[in-house]
Amino acid sequence: MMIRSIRKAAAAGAAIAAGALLLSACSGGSSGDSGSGSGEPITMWTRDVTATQSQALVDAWNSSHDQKVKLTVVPAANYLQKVGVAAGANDLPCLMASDVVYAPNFVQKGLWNDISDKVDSLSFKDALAPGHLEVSSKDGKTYAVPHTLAISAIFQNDVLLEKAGIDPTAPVKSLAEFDANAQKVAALGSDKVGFLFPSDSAGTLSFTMFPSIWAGGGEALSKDGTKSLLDSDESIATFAAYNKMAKDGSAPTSKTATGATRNDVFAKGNVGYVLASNAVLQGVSDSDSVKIGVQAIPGAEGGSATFLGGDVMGISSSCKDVDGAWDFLKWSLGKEAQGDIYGKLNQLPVRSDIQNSDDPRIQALVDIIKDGRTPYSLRYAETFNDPQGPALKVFRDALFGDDPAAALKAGNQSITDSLNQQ
Amino acid sequence: MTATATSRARSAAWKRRQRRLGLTYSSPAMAFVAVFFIIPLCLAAWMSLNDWPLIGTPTFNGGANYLAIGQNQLFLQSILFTVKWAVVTTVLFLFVALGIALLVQNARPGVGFFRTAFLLPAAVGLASCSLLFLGLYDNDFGPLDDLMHALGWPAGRIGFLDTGDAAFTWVMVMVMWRFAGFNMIIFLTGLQAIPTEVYEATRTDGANWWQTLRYVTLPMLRPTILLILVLSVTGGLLAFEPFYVITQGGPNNSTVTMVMSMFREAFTLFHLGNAAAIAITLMIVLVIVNALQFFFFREREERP
Repeated sequence: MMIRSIRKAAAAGAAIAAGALLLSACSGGSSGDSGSGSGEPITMWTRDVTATQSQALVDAWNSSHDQKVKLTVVPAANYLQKVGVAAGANDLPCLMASDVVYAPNFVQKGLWNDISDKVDSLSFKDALAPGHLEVSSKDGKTYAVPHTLAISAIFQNDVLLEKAGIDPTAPVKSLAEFDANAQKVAALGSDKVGFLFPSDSAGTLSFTMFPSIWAGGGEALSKDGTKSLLDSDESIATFAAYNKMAKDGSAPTSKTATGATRNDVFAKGNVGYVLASNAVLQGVSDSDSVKIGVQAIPGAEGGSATFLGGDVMGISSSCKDVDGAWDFLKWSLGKEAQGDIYGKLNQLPVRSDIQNSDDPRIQALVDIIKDGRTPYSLRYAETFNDPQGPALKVFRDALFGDDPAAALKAGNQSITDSLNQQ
Repeated sequence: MTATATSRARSAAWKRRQRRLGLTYSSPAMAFVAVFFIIPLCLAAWMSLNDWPLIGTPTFNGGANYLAIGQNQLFLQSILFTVKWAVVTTVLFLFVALGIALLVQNARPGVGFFRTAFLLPAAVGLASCSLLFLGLYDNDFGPLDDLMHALGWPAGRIGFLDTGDAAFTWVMVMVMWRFAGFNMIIFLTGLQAIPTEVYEATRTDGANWWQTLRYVTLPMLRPTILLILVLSVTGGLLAFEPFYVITQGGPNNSTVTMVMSMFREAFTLFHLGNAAAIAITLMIVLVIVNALQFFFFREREERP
């Protein structure tokens, strides 16, 4: 009887596997079919972290246009794998978004069409996020336009800060002051966390820590993206400040969080500070125990800066309906998309000439953008975002070891090697 | 004379026909093996001799990919971890699965419930199962740490995945939960195959429970034990999903398995040639390991 049920289970398993094969075969077919003439649906890929915005845009577009856009959301961790495999088979979606830090790689590999003429014809070209355009361009040609803007900043729970006797409107001027404040919050009770600090993803860490290096006048990577400068004085000062926070109780001991659940933990109201992207404003709403405040990330000894992240979107080299795809892309940068649709989502516009919210926190974020930077590297993914990449080990040695300076100096070459690999 | 010749000719024709019939019957299976095993294997072997980028044309580079394995620090590190994992899982499977198989061996009221309960986790896909435990092990949202504290676990953070050793242990717990029941079934079929007369004879001879296990059950389970050894050593050396999903190789690359480092080579760095070289090497090692297991566990001829 048991054997029979195993057989049945095996048969069911085989049926499911066959079904899955069939399904993937179907979806493979349709994603390759980018439409030879207008009227065919246009395929589009984005990663899950920008799904809310992309979906809102696609829904609005589809409700008012005949040529539909078909969106597929891909988990961010598997995005490059999926793009790589599809590119190998010349089966990319028509509209292909990318994490802005991967854009140079996409451009170099020729995954996107040259859309310089189309972008140049936009009346508002100069208002588009310049950092995003820069990493999507090569030799004077443009291959992608901004899709979403995700910038790193301090998000604070004003309710807790006031309880701890901190004026939430006073800007934090240095990491030392940030540390002192976080300790005051942590002192409110054993369930209170001063600074929630996910440390198991070098992508998350670089997004929130590079600004402190830049604020101090330093560089994280060389301009051409081939050399790690993380053994510089500004970088050492930043890591030393974090190392102290990990030890003095202002940041919790969790060493396994990657940042994926950071916003949800923050929403519970027991956290004073998180360093995160503006997605906090979409995912967390104010309540009795949470009132979100926003300010810029300071350097170790002053100044402030931000990491200009987010996504760019281009038209892939596999696309057969470039004009149809451009129609959507152009519309996605227009007043309706960037003003009304993004405004409702508390999402920053990718154009500096559009103001889509009266929310003072959005205003604060917009003010921060001018101090923004996007690091340029062809090998950002395998160096920083890959859990097995060299950066995570170096970062963690510097964050949790006894000597941050020695750890950074010892590990810097491994990061440079990874940035230069073929 | 002629009669014999005719019958011989007839029998030869019959044999030929039988052979043709046999070939016809087995051709679907052979086609399946060719398409899904032999051809991909040859492709992988060819790939391993080339510098094979994802986009662009491959170029032949001889054995350079195999030499590169010696320089691949992540892969070299992962060997020790994977071997440790394979050994510990195999030993634990043998004890745990045999233990629960012995518990539910005999038909008693309620035994069907326990057999089903032990086997049920095997119906959950390994990746889904890993995701499930990733949630359980989450300190912010997972219920497991609260439950353990309620049951008297010492206060303080239970860092399921905070250190390499903790991650090893807790992933092991998940894998036990998922596979012990399946191995139990294999043991059960082995146990059922032992004739009851043998047990009756041992009972008549006055053997106690331990002696029965040691001198009757275990020796007669030899083929079953070999099967479980082969399955779990192979499974252990090819471990991927649990660590890819639950630990992502962390903390500090302490839980990277060989297949994970191969996956990184292929799908993060897009060095398909290097990944294929690792795959081929791994396959050869597995064949050798399994051959050794068969050799040491073969049925020895009875000595006079």
